[in-house]
Amino acid sequence: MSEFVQLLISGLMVGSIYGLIGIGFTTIYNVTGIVNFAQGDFAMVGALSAIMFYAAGSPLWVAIILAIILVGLLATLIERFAIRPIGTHVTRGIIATIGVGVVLQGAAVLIWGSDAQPMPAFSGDRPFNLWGTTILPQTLWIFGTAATLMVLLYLFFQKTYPGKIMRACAINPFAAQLMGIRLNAMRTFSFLLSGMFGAIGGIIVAPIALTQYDSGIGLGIKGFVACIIGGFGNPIGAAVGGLLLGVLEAMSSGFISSGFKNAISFVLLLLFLSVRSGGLLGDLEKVGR
Amino acid sequence: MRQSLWGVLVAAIAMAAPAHAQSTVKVGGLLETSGFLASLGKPGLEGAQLAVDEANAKGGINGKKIEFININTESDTNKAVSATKRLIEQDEVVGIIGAMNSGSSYSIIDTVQRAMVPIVSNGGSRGIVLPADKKQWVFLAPLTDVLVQSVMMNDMKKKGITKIALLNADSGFGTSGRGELEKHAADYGIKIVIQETFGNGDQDMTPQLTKIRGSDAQATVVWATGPGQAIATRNYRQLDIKHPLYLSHAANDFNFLRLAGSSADGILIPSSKLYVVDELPANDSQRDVIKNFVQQYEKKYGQKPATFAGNGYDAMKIILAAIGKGGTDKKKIRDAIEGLKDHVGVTAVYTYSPTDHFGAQASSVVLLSVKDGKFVIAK
Repeated sequence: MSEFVQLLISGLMVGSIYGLIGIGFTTIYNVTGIVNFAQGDFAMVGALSAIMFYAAGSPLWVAIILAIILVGLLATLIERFAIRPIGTHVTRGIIATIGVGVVLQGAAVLIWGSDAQPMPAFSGDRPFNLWGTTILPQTLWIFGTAATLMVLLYLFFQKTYPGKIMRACAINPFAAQLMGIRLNAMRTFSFLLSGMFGAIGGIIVAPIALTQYDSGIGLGIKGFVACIIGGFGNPIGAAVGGLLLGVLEAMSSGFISSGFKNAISFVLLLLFLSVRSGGLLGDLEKVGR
Repeated sequence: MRQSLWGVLVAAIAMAAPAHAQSTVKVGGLLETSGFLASLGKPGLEGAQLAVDEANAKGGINGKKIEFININTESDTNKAVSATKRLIEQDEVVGIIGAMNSGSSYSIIDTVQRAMVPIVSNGGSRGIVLPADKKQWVFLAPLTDVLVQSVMMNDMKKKGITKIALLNADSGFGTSGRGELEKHAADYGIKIVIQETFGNGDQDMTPQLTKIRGSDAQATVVWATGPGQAIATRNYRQLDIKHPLYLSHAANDFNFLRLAGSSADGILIPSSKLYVVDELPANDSQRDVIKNFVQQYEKKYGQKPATFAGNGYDAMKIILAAIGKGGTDKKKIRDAIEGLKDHVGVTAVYTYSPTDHFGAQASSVVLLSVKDGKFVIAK
């Protein structure tokens, strides 16, 4: 029993990160229709710059906030100079984000080197025991942060005016522009949000997973799979998909064989793409996609 | 949308830049300075370069300057093959320092065998040079898994450990280590009661270690490279598993200490003497070689050398020693490597023979531990 709970906690923790990365995908996708394959690299840049600010002497929370803002701004610059010149062509935009990812990884090697970097835990490294399982305080930070952000983003898209504008831009950019919505501003805003979400995901997992220049690739792929499982464009779907993927991975390595772990995510990816491309929860009020 | 999602699953990368030619003795390198093993290849390249600089500062070998041409193989097996072809055909090197990636090292065996160019590989797995009579041109410089595992299992035997758990990465290094351990454990009266795997990019090994915690193993062996082994070490402490934790010689690296932090205290690592040189007795033949290497490396690069820097340095030194004996003829260089006896390196003392292309001697391996964030010889 305690083994099951231990695996569940590990799965939920890793799944929360997948979910956060997935939400980052969702935000950009909902406004631009672009799948941002540099999403995982936002997480990597976020974690490495937080570690850098911390090493430079700023308190941990300041370093984290600085890093989140930095990645947010970086993402808006990417939108302005790498994505916007391409126009509204979705496929080209997607290819451009792959290029952006490669550039970010290259820049990370130049700035931070190729070695992995550790980050101190937010509130101590001492694990505590609960019903025969050991839990790290950082795990609770990850759960809390992920849950809060997921709910906030959902409320934002569903209940607030700017959220509705963002969705309108995705459903029909032309009509949205006719209604007086400034499309470019919304696109920039979506990259800002997505960059910040990516950075938060990378930073909260950094004390557990260690970060190096290519850490973003794996996270990006898993976040993408989370989106496919949950339904692309649906932030709650991405969260659910991420948690499901994380738990499945942990359970399969715990009860079947650890060799299957990565196979699980790719089998799910193919399965959902070919059988249920709308994912578990479906697109967010999208027609004809 | 469905179509575009499918479409973007496919991506491609390009590479390559031309090299130049000169009338010196040319030695090629395949060390990776990008890709997932960049953190091994980079120090390896620095170590090899240091060996070349030392030789050239003394006027070269047999009066000829050494020109070192390294091609970044990006931790990729295909790149390793094309780089090897380029070194042999365009640059006409007389010998090659291999990549750190075991996979890359395997992939080029055929090429160097056919072109008849000696290579001293830096890969970690034994299969690269086995069987020696079919791979006459391939030699290994780093410690091999069997060599360090023999030291590790002797220690287990001494402590009365008979049941162990094995957690290895699914990389070439990890699976090779697993294969050798499974093959030889019985010779020491040791049984692997549980075996688990993790991926190189995994963030959490708690599931695997939870299973190990529930088994009746008396010790755990983690066989991996890079950040993965540091995460496993941290998870091991978090799960509060009490029995001894053995890591591979890949953990004999200060980057590992930085990443694992206080979790590393008390772990056991069978490895080279590089980081415990000050504890060595004065009559240890490697003492002065290691001291000189550490000093020169720190002077040139401003930081402590990683284990892999020692590997690169050793591989280059072996080739240079062979050039010193065999001149610029590739066949003679090969024969000279095979004839090396008691060649004192940073990582080990090397003695090669027609049946032994590993070279490294078991007496060079010590069992290390970590105390207060520093490597010490295990008591």
